[in-house]
Amino acid sequence: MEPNFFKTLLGRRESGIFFALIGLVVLISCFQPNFITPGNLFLVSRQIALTAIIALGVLFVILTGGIDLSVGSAVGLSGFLCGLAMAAGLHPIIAVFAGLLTGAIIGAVNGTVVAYVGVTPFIVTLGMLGVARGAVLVIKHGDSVREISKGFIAFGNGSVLGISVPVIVLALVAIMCHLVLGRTIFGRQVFAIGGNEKAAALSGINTRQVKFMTYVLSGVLSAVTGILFVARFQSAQADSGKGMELDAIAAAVIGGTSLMGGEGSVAGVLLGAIIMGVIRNGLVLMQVSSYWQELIIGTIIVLAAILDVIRSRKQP
Amino acid sequence: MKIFLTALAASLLILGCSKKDENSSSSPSKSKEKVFVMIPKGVHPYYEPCYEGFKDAGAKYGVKTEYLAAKAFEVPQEVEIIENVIARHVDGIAISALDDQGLVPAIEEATKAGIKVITFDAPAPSSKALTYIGTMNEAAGYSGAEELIKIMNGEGEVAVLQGGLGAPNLNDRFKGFERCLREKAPNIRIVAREDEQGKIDITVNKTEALIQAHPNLKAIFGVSAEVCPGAAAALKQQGKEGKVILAGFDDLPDTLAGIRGDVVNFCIAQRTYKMGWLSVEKLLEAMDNKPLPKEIDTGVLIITKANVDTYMQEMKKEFAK
Repeated sequence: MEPNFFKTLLGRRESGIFFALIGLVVLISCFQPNFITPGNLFLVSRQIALTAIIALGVLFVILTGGIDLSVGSAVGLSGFLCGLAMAAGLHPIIAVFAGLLTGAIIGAVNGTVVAYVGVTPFIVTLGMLGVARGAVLVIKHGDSVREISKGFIAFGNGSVLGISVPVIVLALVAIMCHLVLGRTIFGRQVFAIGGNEKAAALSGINTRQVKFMTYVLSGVLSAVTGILFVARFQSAQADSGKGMELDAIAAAVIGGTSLMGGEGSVAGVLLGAIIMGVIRNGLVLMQVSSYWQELIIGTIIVLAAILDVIRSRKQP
Repeated sequence: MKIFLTALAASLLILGCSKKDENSSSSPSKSKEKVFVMIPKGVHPYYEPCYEGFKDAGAKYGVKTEYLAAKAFEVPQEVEIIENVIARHVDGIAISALDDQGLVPAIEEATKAGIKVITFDAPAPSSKALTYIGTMNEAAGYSGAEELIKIMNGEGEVAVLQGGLGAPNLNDRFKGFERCLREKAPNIRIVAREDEQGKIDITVNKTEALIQAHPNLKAIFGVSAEVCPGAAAALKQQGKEGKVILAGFDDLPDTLAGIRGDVVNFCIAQRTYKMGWLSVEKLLEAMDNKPLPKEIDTGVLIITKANVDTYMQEMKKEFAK
């Protein structure tokens, strides 16, 4: 498993983006040595992990040729219900399950309408984006939930051997996703559907069921971030996760995932998420004027994607 | 089944009649009840005290009040609500304008229909709205800086977080804040002004980065509402609560909790209840064809640990006569 993982890490698709990342890190460190201090790396890795977990869920959906725009709202609603459960006095472990279940239900609704009813995923998940965020507003009229268990906050913000809990969670999720995609029948079926759905169906794959499962997975992984956000904000915020769907999709695409489906990897998504997080943090550390930041982020995203395309073209 | 339906129809008929009776018996005795509608930018807890003031004043003056909020802060949705209200021929509308130009046609249409329109909280100076009741943002930013200077002893580094660099009200607050520091505390330096896009996760990320980039940072000032809750969470995680001064705009429940917990030093509250109360009074004056001033400054309140639990009642007591 180990050599295979590194082979994928530096495989054809990802090497371009990997070198772009190295260049970026060197550049930022030259301007601002504070960037590579353990303290800052601890913070940046945590920021990145929270986006990367969602992006891995979205990867599965995109691999089948679908899209999930509802992940940001799923983060919000699942975290909010997890917070409400704790405020109601339930044990944090039960509250975490409530959050995960919320994510699974959101994903199941998306998956049912997309796979079994046959509505285009863009519309279904766009609708869910509104429904899930709206549900949060309905519950407490936009207010937050602040009665969060102290133990839960300490756990979510804790660290083991200098690595923060969200990064550890990401590592577990990433290894699982990598194994599922590369080593299981389900993983092969996901790629097969993205490559050619009709051919996949004709070869006996239950394409509906596989597509349904990818949306459930996306919902559950959004919930994981949503729950970790509750600890991070020490409260369940109504606008938590807003706009994260774009970051998650961008991370996947920068990492070489094809929006047409059938192409992409866990390592690529991780690199994509890291590059976005590093840019965001680096610009603040380098004291770049906030008027320029958005423009620079947009440019670097496109440049990274161009570099990736050029490199993958050169290799036969 | 048929019997059931007939019974249902009959009972509805009776209900309908009795309702009509109620109306016809009460309406001739009084003149038609006035209806004022408050339209905020969208669903947000910030507007709750606004509507409380609006409702309480309505009860005092015998005006029926309503509250119609769009789910999203989007101009088309706000325009749609205004249009729906025009169709219902209400007497007065108080709007917190999401946009100046975008609301011009809708407000003009309402005015043409004989409805009195004023703005509260956020103005629409290009429109035909009769007055604006709210915070003068530049003056409010200035007041915030004055309070911060005291806590910082007139020296040190401060970083400013703002939610969106294009919002005129936030830019005005920053302008007032900056001007006050220049005039009264030349030894305080603004070392960064970051855009947190109105999102709490970005607020937390940027606060963390600011602490890394500026080891001598003495204070963080937020010109928009989500800064104090987000920055407070980041400071607590870093064990910096109480060590870095944190202050900013608006009295969100999370910010007030931060003041009680000694993470947030102070916040600048807009007099939301007063905005709602004055909206009713000014709409009534407009209906009597009295001239209204172009702007009415409601002022701000500085909230510290000393008055965090009492300021809301005090703000309301001002009007409970």
